[in-house]
Amino acid sequence: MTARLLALALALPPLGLAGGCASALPVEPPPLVDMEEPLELFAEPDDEAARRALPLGGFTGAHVGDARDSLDALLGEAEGVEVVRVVENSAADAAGLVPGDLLVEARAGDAPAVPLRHPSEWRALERDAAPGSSIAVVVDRAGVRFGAELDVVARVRPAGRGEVERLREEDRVGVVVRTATEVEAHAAGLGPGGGAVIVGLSKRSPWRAAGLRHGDLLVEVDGRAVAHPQVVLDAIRAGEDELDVVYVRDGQRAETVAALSDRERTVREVYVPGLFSRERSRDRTTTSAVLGIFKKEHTPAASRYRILWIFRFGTGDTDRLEEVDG
Amino acid sequence: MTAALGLLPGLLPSLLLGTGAGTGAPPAEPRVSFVQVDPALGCVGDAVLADVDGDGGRDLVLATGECDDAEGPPPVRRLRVHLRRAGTPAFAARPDRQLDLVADVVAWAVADVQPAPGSELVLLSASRAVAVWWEADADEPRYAALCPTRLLWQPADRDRAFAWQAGVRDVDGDGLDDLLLPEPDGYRVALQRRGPDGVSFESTVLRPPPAPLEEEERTAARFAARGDELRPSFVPDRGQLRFLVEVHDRVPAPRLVDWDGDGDLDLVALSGRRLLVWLQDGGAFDAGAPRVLELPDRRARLLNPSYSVQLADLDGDDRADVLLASSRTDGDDVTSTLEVYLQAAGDGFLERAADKLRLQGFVDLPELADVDGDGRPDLAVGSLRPDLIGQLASGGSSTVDMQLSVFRGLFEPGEGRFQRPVALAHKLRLPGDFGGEGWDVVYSFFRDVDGDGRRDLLLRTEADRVVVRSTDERGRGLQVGDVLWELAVAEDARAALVEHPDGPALLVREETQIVHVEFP
Repeated sequence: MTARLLALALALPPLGLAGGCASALPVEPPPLVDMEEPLELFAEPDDEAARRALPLGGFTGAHVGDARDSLDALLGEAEGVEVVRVVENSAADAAGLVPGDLLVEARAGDAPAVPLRHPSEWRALERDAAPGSSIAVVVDRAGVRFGAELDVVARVRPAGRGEVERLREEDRVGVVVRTATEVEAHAAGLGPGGGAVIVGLSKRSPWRAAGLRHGDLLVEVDGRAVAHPQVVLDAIRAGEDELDVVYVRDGQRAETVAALSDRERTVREVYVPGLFSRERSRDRTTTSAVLGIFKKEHTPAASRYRILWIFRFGTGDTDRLEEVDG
Repeated sequence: MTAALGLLPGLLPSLLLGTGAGTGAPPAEPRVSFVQVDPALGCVGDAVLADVDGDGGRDLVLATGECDDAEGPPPVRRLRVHLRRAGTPAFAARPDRQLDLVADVVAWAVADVQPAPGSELVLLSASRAVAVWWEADADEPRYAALCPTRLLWQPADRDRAFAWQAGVRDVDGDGLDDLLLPEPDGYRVALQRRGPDGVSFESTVLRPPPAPLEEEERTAARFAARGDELRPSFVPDRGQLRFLVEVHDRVPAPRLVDWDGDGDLDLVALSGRRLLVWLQDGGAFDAGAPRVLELPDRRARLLNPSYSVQLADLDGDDRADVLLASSRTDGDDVTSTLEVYLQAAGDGFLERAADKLRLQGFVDLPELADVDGDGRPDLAVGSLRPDLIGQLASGGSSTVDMQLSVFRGLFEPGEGRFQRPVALAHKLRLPGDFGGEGWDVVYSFFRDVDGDGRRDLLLRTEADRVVVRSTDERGRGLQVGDVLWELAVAEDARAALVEHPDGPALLVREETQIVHVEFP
């Protein structure tokens, strides 16, 4: 009897240690599940003919791209749009712009200067500028800033069709948005590349309760124009409890206050050395009692019971379907 | 006696192991690891060995990017971190961490610049340095700005980012990695400081003074209008012309050495025939004018294929000394001279060469290393006969012979010379394109592989193999002995020695794989 007690005493600490060595705590929450992404919204609408029929607007010869693909953006300090091409003999060429320059700020005519962060803001400015007018820009070239004046001429043919980006947020709202097409953006008063169309929503997304639906075009979030779908994601990440959202549905502008959710918290594991332990993850629950005399494992597809360490039985789904009446 | 295994150049490097000459026991087998990259995801670029996870072992950080002959859009530029693990291979094929590089990243390095365990990736753009690291169990990396810079290399290559690991050193000796970043008009030395508020960098920009161009290098461009175009003509200038604008097309490469023997690393750069020295005093550099030391005038430096300047403490007084190599052509005869200038106490320096070695032909790849294991640096140098180079140029031959010579160093503080006659003479037959891209190393007395106290010779004299041969005693001299080890590589592979406190490791970079060789 004494020997058995000694053996048990020696065995207990290792058992306790084994139970105490839990896996490292996750730093980030897992992605939200149950995202609904209708297939009909997967591809962008075929509206090329309508796009070519849009007013052409002004032209300066500066083709700009996103400056967010940069270390500055990763540090949250990005500003400006990057000149990616300069048309020969254009106003931008005459003003001395070269690829790689950043356009930080622009002012059309007598209007106040606006900071530039997304290409759609520059393209809206250029499109709306009247031929014969000028746009004053602040240029950043390798950290040195200077001003330049671009004379606007009439655009003679449509610009190329922009690329569509799909961005996913699965931490607080559970939403997938894509870039609006130029036709959709124009109808909402945004520049080409602006606007974000909801193409995916989590089943339990708080935005459903706010009345937002698949296909809605988001044009303003918390007072900021959606000049790029990233603006929506940035607002969601930075928001506290809720966001003011302005959207367009069937050509009608509407507003709503959309909540941002906090994660549900659940007890994942309980551990009492030697007596009881319970560990739960999304698809598995394991319960053990009295040094493992009783142990139960449960998943959505199967269960397993173990009693007195040696008796074990399991149950679960089979590989056959049940007969369906009718 | 060696036995060749089946060789599949470029696919499966194979090993040959011979007996350890002179010891009776075969040398321990090197530890060879291969890391392959799916060509669809890009080709292998630069690689760095550093302790990323803080476990004391050197992990492999590898850049992938555009393949040289690829068509279509370039793949994503990416850094892959392969953590070291026990046993062989040292690195798993699947990377433990991956980081896609944003468009403005020009260069990268690995340095310990955050309180988190291990080292971080350091990304360099035209205007800033940023640290990237991962917390335990987190998929998303964290970023922190380190210091601003105006990097010498402003535009980012869309195909690949290069490693600037030479810019990571503990410059001030406080145990923390510092950054040395070349800029268009100087060098930024960013010293890491850690305190209760976290990590910060103290930057000093060291600017070389304007350099007068050497007379023989001065060329004036004159423009003449002919019809509707301007045509330039270039004329040599002997100092009569006055220049409105002088343009330097290069920034001298910086080196950190202990120049004055005070235990601090000093920054030395060769600009024209001037050595610029910024002395460090206990963690602080004087950003003012550097100390300028004129090297002896050697005509036509830019066209002198033998010209090189090596810095090393030859005489054991802890101060850097200079080995200057140059050649002189007289008709068909070419004579090269290797001059040793020892740094004496005080300012007495470079007045007179302590030793002058003359060799026939052009000299190339001088290396200062303790070959014979007596604790003093010896000189290994290759020399090439000009008539063989002429044959090569005319297509009469596809190989060229190089004479590898080793001279024993007999220096004492303030005096000494290299011993004559030559201690080791060995003929190397090299392909005509040796020294080009991919030939990061042709020969090197890199380490003692067979344990006999002498450094053994790593050779890449053939495009498709890297060989280690023993260095043996032969009478009062030395000779190149048996093949100790051999590795078949792809013909376009780059082979480089990577420094480490345990002795250099070999990194062979092929298009879709890295071969890492660690010698015991």
